[in-house]
Amino acid sequence: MHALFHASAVDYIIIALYFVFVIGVGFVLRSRVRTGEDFFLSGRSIPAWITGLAFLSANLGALEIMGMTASGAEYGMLTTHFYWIGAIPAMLFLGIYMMPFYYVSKVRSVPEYLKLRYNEATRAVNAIAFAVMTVLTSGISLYSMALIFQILIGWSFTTSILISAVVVLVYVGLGGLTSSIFNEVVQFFLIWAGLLPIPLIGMHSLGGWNGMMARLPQGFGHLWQNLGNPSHNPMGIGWLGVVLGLGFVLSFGYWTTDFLVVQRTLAAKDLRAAQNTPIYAAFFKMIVPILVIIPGLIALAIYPKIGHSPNMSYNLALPLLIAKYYPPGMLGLGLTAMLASFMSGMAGNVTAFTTVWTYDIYQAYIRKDASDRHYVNMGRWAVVVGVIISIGTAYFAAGFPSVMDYMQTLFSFFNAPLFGTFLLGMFWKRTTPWGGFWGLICGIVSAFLMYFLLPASTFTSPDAGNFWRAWWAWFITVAVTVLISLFTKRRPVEELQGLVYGLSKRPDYSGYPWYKRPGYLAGIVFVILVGLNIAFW
Amino acid sequence: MQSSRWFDLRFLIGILFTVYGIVLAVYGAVSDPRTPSLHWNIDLWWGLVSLVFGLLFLIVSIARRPNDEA
Repeated sequence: MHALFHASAVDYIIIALYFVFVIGVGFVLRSRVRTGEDFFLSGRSIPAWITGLAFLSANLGALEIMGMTASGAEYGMLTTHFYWIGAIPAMLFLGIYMMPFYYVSKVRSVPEYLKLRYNEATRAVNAIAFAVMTVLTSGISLYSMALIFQILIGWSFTTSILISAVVVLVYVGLGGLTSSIFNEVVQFFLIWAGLLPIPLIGMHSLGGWNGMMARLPQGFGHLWQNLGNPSHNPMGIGWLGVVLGLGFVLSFGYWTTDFLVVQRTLAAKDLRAAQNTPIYAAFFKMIVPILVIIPGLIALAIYPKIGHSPNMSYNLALPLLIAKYYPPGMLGLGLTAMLASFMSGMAGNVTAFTTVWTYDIYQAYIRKDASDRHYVNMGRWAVVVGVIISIGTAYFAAGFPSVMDYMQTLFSFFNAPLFGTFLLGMFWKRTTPWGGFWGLICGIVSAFLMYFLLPASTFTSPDAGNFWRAWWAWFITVAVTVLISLFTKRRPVEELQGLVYGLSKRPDYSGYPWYKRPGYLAGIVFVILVGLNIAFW
Repeated sequence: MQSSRWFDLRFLIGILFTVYGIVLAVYGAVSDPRTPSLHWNIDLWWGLVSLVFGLLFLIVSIARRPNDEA
């Protein structure tokens, strides 16, 4: 097969330096890992700027970068909804309102919170679903990475998979969560170093923003103007679906309850750092579209046929620009940025899986009272097993590619109901254990039923379908939870101290300057967010 | 403590970007690579940008207060 790039010696040197670096970091951090708290929670000792960048880049995988660039070329600035309304409000809400409960209750994972607030059964549902989905997701991203590197530089499928899996195994196995977090932050800077020249050069050669817009279809520069009627925009969605489905349920479900991201906040050194983690992340999240969506627009302006010719799919938007602008050297840096984001995405999944497996499945149901050392060793074995399952999943995906798209859609059915369960659990103290459990189950089941029973034509487009299904699954969860809570037994108030709004002390930061206080920082982010939405109306 | 510097992420990032900056800038200066659509030496200039970025992180890390633990 003909590869898109021909990598030369200097490119391989740059890639090799990165491998040496991450493995070196693993060995350095190894001496720091003594207890389970160190391995699974980084000893709760990381400053907020580090956890904040890790929080952001755990989600900024190479798949996401290439996919969002592709969407930028297909839908224009509309794609930015996934970054602004579809992430920022949820991140601020997590920092201001939810972090006090997560952090102060000293839980080690999201399922553990469910056990304290609700009951063992609710935790088991979440722990098992999360462990299975996370390890499979890790395999899916491994598969996609191998596929992309095959197309880009002609590496064989097995080479890509084995190299990256072994490197992830070494650095996560040695340094645990700290290793994973450090590499996520390094990846964040590498992504900017490797990809920022593309929007800069592209915009310059097209004559700036207005020059670029002149070459694009009508409406590609707007966020809200064409959302009044789903048939007026290429995504086929209306504003209500965007606000309720994407902005509210999907985004809050992911950013506030997915343990992959929440785990980063739990590693922060104190409550203020934990609250600031998602807020710092929000500042940086707002500028990520420069790196992913603008290149999509540039690709469409330069290659107007993209997406409409057999050898130029939208997914090639970013690779085509790299091939156009990058000589050897920069090419190596660009490829390293992609590799780094794949590997840190996989490492993030593996660490989250390891923690939930060890604390919420193994310690909860298999061996309750072993020594701390025993659980650290179990964690390291879980890393090995997690990586092996990921490799297996990657090869399975290679055999049945269509199954994979399907699976990712199915996984999205778990977060929306979970957000309903958390919202009621944290803010309504009358929510009962069994109300929470049955609400969650009904929400998940209804998401599946809507997907399989409603014909595709019910919704104006696949995106609109995702948004509305998420909204209704959340709604059903909340309705069932409230209904059952009215007829079942509550937990005694003493057991809910520190877990529910109104039964916990609000943190007081009045002694701190404004730039250290979560409330003020969140306010600044919010004002910028509103400004951006008006500017690109 | 000298060894604690290796636990400082700013120090690690500084090293990585300094090395990348040097590799890119030297390669750019020596071989002056071009692509058909780009008529200036991006390797050299972006290498220098990375080098400055890396050195900044190293300086911040080394100059931090002793009690400001990573």
